[in-house]
Amino acid sequence: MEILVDQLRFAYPRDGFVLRVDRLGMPAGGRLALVGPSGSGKSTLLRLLAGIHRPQSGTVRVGGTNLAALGEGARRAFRIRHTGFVFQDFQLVDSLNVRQNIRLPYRIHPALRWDRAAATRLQALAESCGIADKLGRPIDRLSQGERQRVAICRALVTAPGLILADEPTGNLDPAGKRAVLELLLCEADKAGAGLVLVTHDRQLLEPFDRVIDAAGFHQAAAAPGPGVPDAT
Amino acid sequence: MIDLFQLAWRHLLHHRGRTLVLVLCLTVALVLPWITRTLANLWQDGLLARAEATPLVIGAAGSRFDLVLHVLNFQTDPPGTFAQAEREAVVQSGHARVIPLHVRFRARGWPVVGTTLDYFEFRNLEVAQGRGLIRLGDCVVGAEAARVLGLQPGDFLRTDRTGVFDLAGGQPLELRVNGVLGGNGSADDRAVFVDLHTAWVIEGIGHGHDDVGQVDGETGEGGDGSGGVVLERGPGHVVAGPALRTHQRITDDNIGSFHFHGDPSGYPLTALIALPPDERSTTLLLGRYAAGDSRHQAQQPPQVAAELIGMVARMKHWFDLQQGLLALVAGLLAGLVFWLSVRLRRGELRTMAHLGCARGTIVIMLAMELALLAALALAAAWAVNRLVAGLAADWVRALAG
Repeated sequence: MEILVDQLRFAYPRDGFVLRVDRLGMPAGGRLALVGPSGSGKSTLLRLLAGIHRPQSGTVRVGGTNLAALGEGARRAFRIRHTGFVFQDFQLVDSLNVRQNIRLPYRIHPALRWDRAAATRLQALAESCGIADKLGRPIDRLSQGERQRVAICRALVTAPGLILADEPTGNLDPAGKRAVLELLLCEADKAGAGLVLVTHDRQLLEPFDRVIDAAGFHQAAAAPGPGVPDAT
Repeated sequence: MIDLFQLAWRHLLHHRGRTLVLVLCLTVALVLPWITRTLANLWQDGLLARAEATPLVIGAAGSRFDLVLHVLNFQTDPPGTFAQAEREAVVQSGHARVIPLHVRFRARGWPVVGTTLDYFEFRNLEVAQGRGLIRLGDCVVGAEAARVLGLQPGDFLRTDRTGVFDLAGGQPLELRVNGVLGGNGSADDRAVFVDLHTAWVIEGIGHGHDDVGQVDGETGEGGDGSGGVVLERGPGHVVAGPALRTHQRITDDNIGSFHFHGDPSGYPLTALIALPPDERSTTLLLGRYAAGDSRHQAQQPPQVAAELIGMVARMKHWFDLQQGLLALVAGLLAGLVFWLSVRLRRGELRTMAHLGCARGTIVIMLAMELALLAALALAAAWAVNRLVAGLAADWVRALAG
């Protein structure tokens, strides 16, 4: 799914933080890395792309749909149908085992229907990520790397057109980081999905088509003016 | 919806300890008022049923509640005793058939009910083991009393001493268990029945002892030196001393020595159950005691029981209020624990929201968890209530009468 952000402005209520992006684009199936110091707005932009936040002004188009024009319910429905989100701290549900965690999106929104194809996809993803033998295992009996693999499977099981990954390697050792990144890229390629990844680690940027330093978003906000140049 | 139910259920299962605490809190909040109400209803039903089956009671003047409860459950002390002459007076009035009751003593804690065979017929009591009352000193034991005391026909049951300092009181008597009654879920199950004359023997009005005419010597000394067996022997009379041996158990050999002193019309009773043949006789009998007789009273148990239940019901409002407050506190406690757990799960719920779960769906899932907790607590409270009601039903009914 292609991404097109235009004249975006977002500020947290009761917070001095302001994010401004004049123009940002990514073609369908593209790979975009967002880097930058903490507090620069990387994760905020990712959430705007996911429709978790709604901009005060501007447009955020994902696959042609302007998320800024959608209401809360419609954005949630769009998100669960078309995007997969991988969080830095995995954010798995302790009370569910591996299989149930991967299947979670199907349990929490009627827009997704659990069928044979979805079950086959779950099994294939688990095998591809090397956790097929751990599907019945409780989450608290997995290593950090295994948990992140579960989180990746959960993001991909709905066959989304766009994968959003918020520092997915942040809690992993160097070997684990590379393995998870390769897995993400491989699965995104297989699914034909676009990938936007937020990271601090500049050693992981090589496979990406485009790298954007989010510091520019924040600087632009701090100094009102033309904002970030066209990043497409 | 089934998916949300499964998520809610798995969450409760995963946090078993917390779930258990919440279920316990809610169960306590539910079960206490529930059990109280169940037991109160059992007591009320038992009391009313027994009262309805007892048309009229007569006894010494005093508390009408004491008199009625005394007749119904044998546990309550009577307002007083009265002379047997009153029994004769009622019979002679022709207004009712009467069944005398004498309930002043206990045997190993269970009330000893002195009455006549009419009582068994009146209450439809049937002997399940052994035989009924045949001779002086026999007893027939209620089903529950027999079970608890482990008694069966042929055993002996000693009556309790009335008091250490009650020197004038009767001596304990060993009763021969002649039969065990079938249970009927009333106070009859928890009583020991004896013939009225046996009750008077326990009272000390009647007794049996060695024949002083056969004692050797003019003034034989007791073995313990406490006094002579015969203190004085004159023409037509013998004065016995404390060394004279009285019988504590009535046997075929010594039954002939048992005799009663005093005027039988003065022997004590604690109540009469009167059975008037019709409404007119009831009215006349009630009128007889309402007008002029300050030493006795006649009461209709159904009315007195209804009055008593009305009083209890008024008090029950306060109990209900108290238990309502308790339930509220327990409910608030459970609510607090649930709220805290939701706060602890904020990350998990935020993840669901970030994945695309609607806010309403999250609320429904939490509501399902609450509903499951409530259902578990309700099921536990129902089970506890049934268990307690089952275990205590006979006891409560017997307390009622």
